[in-house]
Amino acid sequence: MIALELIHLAAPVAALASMCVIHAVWCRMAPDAPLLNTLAASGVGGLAVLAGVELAAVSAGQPVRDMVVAAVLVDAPIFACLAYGYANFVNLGQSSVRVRIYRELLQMPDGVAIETLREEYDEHGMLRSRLERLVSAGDLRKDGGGVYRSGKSRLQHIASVIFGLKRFVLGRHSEFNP
Amino acid sequence: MNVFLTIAFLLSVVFAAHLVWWRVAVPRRQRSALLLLFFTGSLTISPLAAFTLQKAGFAPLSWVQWLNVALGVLAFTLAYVVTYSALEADSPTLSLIRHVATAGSRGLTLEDLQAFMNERPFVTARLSALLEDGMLSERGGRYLLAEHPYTLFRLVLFHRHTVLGLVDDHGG
Repeated sequence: MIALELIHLAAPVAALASMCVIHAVWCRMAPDAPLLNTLAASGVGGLAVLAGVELAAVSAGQPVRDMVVAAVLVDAPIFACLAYGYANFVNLGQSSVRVRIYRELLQMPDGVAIETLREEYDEHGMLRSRLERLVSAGDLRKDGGGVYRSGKSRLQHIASVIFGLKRFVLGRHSEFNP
Repeated sequence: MNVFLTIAFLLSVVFAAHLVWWRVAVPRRQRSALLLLFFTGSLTISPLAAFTLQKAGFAPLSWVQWLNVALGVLAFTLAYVVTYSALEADSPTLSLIRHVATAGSRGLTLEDLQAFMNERPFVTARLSALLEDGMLSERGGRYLLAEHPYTLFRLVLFHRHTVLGLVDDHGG
């Protein structure tokens, strides 16, 4: 009984560890691949490991029905939360303006002129680089006339959840429109 | 099933406390308050959770199952605190995605998107937040890094450069 409990405790942790290793290897082999794509694929790899560990519980004598209940209600949601945390941690290094500013100022002990920083982190320049990234990953499409339209729906689903939660928890849609 | 019910009980009570607290007065250090509430709150009410489930006829949890409960609470709490950062401050990427989606098949030009972003000065807001949090200081018309551990930023950059082997502006 303890053995089965330990398998279920270890399952999401083993899945996360696998996801991290797969992601690191993938990034080293294909550094130009869109980050969201590498994270999604590594997440699928982690899920495969999770499934493998759950099957080990069945091999150790757990009834399939009990294994499925544990996997669906506990192990998979825990792995999903851990994977989500990892993905956000990685994405900070990619997209966070604060991390970029920190990285830059780390190399400048005398600091940087305010106007220089504001010019470099120009809102329009950052818009262009974000649009390029989103088009490259397929989340936006750009036609020959320079018109942007929605691409893959994954970020739209995330945006719906985030903006819904904003409304629910904070009572507003945007930090700029309280 | 017992593990799931215990996690659900703990997180439901703590999340309800979070909503009530935030309606009364949003704390100044919101993420720290969330971590404190979720971890210490769960620890504090876990005997109540155990008692409630036993009264409902469920078998008591073993020590391994309690570790599993702790892992579940930890995973959800970290995921929620990460999500909360996106609630507190708008994500430019998600704001763009949502705005393009609302335009439907008509789509939006670069000029439309620039006008949208002009109403949302993300960079200015982030610089202000860094100044308010004491991570940047302003002296003689220059920005400098303030005395601050920057532990999370250091970890993020170490992982990006050393573990993933990504150079800046790579990785799509």
